[in-house]
Amino acid sequence: MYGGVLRVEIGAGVSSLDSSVAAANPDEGVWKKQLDALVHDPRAPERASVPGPPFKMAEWEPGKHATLVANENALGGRPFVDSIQIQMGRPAREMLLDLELGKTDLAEIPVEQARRAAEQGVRISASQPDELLALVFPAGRAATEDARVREALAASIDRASIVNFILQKNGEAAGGLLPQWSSGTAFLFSTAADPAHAKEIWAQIAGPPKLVLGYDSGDSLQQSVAERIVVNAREAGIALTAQAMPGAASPAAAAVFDAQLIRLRMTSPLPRAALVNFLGVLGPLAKIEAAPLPDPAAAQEIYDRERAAIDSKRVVPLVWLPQVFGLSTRLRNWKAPGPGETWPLADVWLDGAGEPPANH
Amino acid sequence: MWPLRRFLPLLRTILLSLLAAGAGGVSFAQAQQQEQGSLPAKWNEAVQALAERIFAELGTSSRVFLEVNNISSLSAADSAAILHEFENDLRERRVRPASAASTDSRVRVTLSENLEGYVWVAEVHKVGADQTFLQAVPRPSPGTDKTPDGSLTLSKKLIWEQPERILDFKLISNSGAAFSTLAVLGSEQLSIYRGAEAGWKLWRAIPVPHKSPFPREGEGFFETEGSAADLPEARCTGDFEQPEKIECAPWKQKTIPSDPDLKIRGHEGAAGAILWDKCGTSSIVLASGTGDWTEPDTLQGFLFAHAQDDAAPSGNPIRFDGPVLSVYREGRESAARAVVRNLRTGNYEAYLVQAACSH
Repeated sequence: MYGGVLRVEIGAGVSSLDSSVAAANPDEGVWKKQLDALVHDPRAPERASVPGPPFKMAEWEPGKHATLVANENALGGRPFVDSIQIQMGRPAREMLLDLELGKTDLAEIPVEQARRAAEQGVRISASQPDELLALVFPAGRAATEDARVREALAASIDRASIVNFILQKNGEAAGGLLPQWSSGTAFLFSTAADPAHAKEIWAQIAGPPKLVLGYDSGDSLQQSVAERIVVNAREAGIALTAQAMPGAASPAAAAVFDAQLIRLRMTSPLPRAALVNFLGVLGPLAKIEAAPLPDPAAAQEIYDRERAAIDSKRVVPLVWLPQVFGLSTRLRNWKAPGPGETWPLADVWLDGAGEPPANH
Repeated sequence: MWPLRRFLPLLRTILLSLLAAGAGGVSFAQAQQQEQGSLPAKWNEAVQALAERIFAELGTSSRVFLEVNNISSLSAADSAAILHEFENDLRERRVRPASAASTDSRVRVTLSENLEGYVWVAEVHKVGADQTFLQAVPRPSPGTDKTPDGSLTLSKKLIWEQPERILDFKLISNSGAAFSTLAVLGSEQLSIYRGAEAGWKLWRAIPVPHKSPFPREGEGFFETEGSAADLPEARCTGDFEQPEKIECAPWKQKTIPSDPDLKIRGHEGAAGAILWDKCGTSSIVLASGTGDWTEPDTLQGFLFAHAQDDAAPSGNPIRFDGPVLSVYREGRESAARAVVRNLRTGNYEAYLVQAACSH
């Protein structure tokens, strides 16, 4: 069915669509790319006569609101919906409430709230797990230079309880830097906690340090996980406290924090591309080798590089998170986007909206 | 922790249980084995490559405890055949099977899978060293899949694929030789290719006139009888073997109706077609699944004697890596043309689907 206004709410606020203006944070960067794909045709300069992108920007209020209208000359055919209303910068709690009340058609839901949302009657769609939550030991911290310190803390972490109690089973324990569906080798990386081994190693360290774990102050999931890790560490005799950082993990934060939580979203479903992207972030932060993998890279090469990063004990994968979306009852043909994909807003339609197309 | 088992009974148990639990359909390896008497060539190469690396690590005259786990979509029969090949290969290299209790050398082979294909992993454990070897293995080619079971047997052959939308296609024979002209109908142009299966070369592209944008769910097809292609706002006519004479012009008066909707119970609204030929006294219908455009799809054969309402599925469906967008019967044969959107590659694919009737 053609027609209707698709109502979308997002947590990020996009301040500018200008590609020369950098996004203030990763979430804004993701949404800037989404909007760009909806309203700009990258092939336009070369093929000006070719029908363009699915939507045109009709209204733009930076950081707050955008209205996109269907492009009648879109390549692949006109989108099904007449227009999209995007409300930006919405708190998660309010997006969830709007979904429950039917005031919006589509919104991203924090993964740890997915189960509650479903219990409240919200239609839920989840992607494959494609975002990694990991603990990183930044380079240059005297307290964690001893590999036994890193190994002990890593061994104390109970990933199963994070998945079961914090994520309410919407996620998977992670032992490597790539999910099983992408690499096929995630099963080779252990996810089991070993508190006895953690205690044993910690006991060998003379004058064990007191460690500080940083988490993004704007990320409630990171806070919950950090607090859980503190509990696990203390049970193994490790002195660890958690503290909020004023933003995402960064080399600058290494001046204060011995360890940091970090979220890494896959930019490609392909294992080589995803691993290269992750190592590009982890390299400067934790001094993990980030030399480029050959392209194409054999499965053995990808695994060996991934194994080397894990064996350095500088990065401790914790859990894989899916992207979770709440859908209204009238939204049809939605498919959760995969890594590197944009929201398929040109392909969705609204049940009960508008007229059938003329040729049917 | 490696379980304590005797190797030969374990091997017998694994093989028997895997074969007994084998799926009703014939696995790809079994189908190939029936034709060729061995694993598919690529799989054989992968087994040999992995066994070579295991052997290089263990050395000759070693005794090893071998375990194989399948965590991929390979059928039980296929994984049993792969295990069999591993054992044969290692035996030829004089690596002898042993129980877990009687040796320190252990090899665990895991048949895994990722986005791009299968990944076979060998973890070699011996005193003083652990090694992990990986071998990427391609999945079977989609163009040669067969479903031999049932009175109606469907097979598919990939004829053409392209990133631009395909509405329909037509293969035209040339004086008794193999098909030598391929016409591909898109929303913007009718493309005529000349050549053979080994390679098609663009001969001529004729633009399709239209005033309004091509509808997202718009259809276009080659007429079953005659030499014309119909689109929402235009009709292309002429001799497809002489493409310089083909003309695409706006409709003067649209008189050709599209095919009526399917009435197969449970498949109302699905893409499908009634084939020209019959299976005994029954009419043959091919129908797609009922998912939406975001899911892989199937084509299932149905037989009915009187009314479509009574059509019953016959034989196994054939699978595609994306939604089936259209199905049109192919001439006066037991065949149809199907267009699929491959969700993995994003390409539109044109298949010729044959329905063989055994009765």
